[in-house]
Amino acid sequence: MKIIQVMPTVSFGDAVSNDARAIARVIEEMGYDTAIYAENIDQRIKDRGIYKLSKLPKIADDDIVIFNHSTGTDLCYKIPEMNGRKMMIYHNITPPHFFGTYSSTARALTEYGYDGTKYLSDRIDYVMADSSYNASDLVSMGYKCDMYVRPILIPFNDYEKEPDSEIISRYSDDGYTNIVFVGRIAPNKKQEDLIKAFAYYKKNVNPKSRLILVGNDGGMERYSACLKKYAEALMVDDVIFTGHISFKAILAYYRIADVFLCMSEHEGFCVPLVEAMFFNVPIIAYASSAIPDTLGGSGILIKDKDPVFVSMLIDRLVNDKALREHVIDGQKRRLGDFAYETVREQFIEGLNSFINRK
Amino acid sequence: MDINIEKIMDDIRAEIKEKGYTADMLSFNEVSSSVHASESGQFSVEEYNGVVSYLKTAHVVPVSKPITGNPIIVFIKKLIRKFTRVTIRPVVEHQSEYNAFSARALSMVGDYIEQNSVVSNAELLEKIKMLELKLQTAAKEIDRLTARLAEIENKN
Repeated sequence: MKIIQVMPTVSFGDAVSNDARAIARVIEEMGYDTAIYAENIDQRIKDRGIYKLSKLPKIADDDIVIFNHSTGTDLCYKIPEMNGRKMMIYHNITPPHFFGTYSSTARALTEYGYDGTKYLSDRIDYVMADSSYNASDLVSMGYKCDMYVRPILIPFNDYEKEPDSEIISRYSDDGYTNIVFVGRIAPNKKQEDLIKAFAYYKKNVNPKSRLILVGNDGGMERYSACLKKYAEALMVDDVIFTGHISFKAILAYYRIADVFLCMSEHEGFCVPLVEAMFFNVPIIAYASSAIPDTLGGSGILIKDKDPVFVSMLIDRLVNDKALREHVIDGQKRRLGDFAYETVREQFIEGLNSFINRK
Repeated sequence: MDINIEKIMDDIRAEIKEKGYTADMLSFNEVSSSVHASESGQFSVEEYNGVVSYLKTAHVVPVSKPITGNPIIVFIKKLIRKFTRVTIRPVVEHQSEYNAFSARALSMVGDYIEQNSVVSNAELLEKIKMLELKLQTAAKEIDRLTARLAEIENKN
C-alpha cells in the first residue's frame, strides 16, 4: 500500500510545506512507500521523495492519497478522480474578503480555494485538521466525514541554529523595548493594528521602543505600501519592515524580542506563536480564528484592540517581572504539547485510525 | 505569587476609564483609501516603475535551464537538447531581442511621462495627501495634549 501526499506547491520555509515534509518522514518511518507530488517545487528543496505532479504513479484502490489543502487549486477537482482512499489535511484558506482592493489575484485564488473545499465536502473520506477551528470550518461547509485534530509538526531542532549576530548586536542592550510580530505581510494579519497600537505606545508610554514586522510582502506590495504610509501618517518612527530575510535573521529577531504582539484576524494555526513560546517571548494576541486553540490558555489573549489598552498591557508585561515570568512559564508548559515526538505520535494515531478503517 | 491575568486586564481597563485615556488616531482606512489601486484602473507611478525595472532585468529568455534528476534521464534530455539547439536558439534569441526592445519602449514612455510632468503631478498629489494626513495626526495630538494640560492645571 502506498501513502502519497499531493499538494499544489512545496515552498521553502512555508509552514504547510514543512509539515508535509515532516509527515513524509514519519510515513516512511512507519514503513510505507511514500512520496510528495506537487505542481510546483521550490528549487531550494533538496529532499528525497518530492516529485512533480506529472510523475504521479498509478494509484491502487487501497492506496491512500493525502491532499494538503491551504489555497485555491485545480487539485480540488482532480483529487476525486484519483483512485485510492482520500484524506485531506486542512490548513485553512484565508477568507477572500481580507484582500479587498489589495490583490484581486489573491482574492480570486482564495475564492477558488473555498469553492474547491466545498466541492470536496462529500468526496473526502477523512480529514486531519491542524486546529479545532479548521475542523469546525469544514463542518460549516458540509463535511460529515471523520475528522482528527493534531497540531502542525514543527522541527524544533532548526530553531537551535546560530542566529544572525549582527541583528542581535544592533537591536539588543540599547535600552529599547522590541515588540515583534512574525508573519507574511498580509491583510488578514492586520499589521495596521500593530502599527496603531505601537504608535500610541511609543508616543505615550515608552518612547524607547521599536516595532519589528518580520515578514515578506511578496504578492501584497500594495498592502505593504499602505502600511508604510500609515506609519508615516501617524508620524511614528522605529517601525521596521524586515522584508524577506534569512532563517538565521528570523531566529535573531525572536532572540531580541521583548514582546510578541499578534493582532491577526485569521490564522489556521499560527506557527509563529509556537516559535515565540520556544524563544520564551511573552505573547499578547488578539483572540481570533485558531489563535486561542494554539495558545491553549497560555500567553495573554485579548478581546479588543484599543491602542490605549494594548499599550498599557505591553508596558505591564515588560515591567512586571512576576507577570512576565508567569506568562513565559505558562507558554513553556503549552510548548510541551507541540513537542515533535508528541505530535508525531498523534499523527500516527490519526493516520492508523484511517488506515484501519476499511 | 498568584497571578490573575484577567484581573490585571480589568484593572488596566478601569485605569483607562478613570483617567479618561483615549486614542483618537488616524484610522488605517483613511490612509489605504488614498492609495490608488492600478487593479481598479487607476495609474500607479510606483507600480509602473516597478514593472519597467523588472522588464529591464528579465527580458533575456534563457536558451536552456539546468536539468536535474535521474542521471540517465538527464543524459538523454541533454542529448535531445543538443540536437534541437540549432532550431531553438535562433527563436529564443529573436524573442529576447524583441523583449529588450519592448522593455526599452516602455522605459521611453516612462521618461516621456516624467518629462511632461504627468507623474510629477501624481507624486505631488500623493505628497499633499500625506501631508494632510500628518496634519490630522498632529491636530489630534495637539487636542489630546491640550486636554491633558487643562486636566493637570485643574488639579493644581
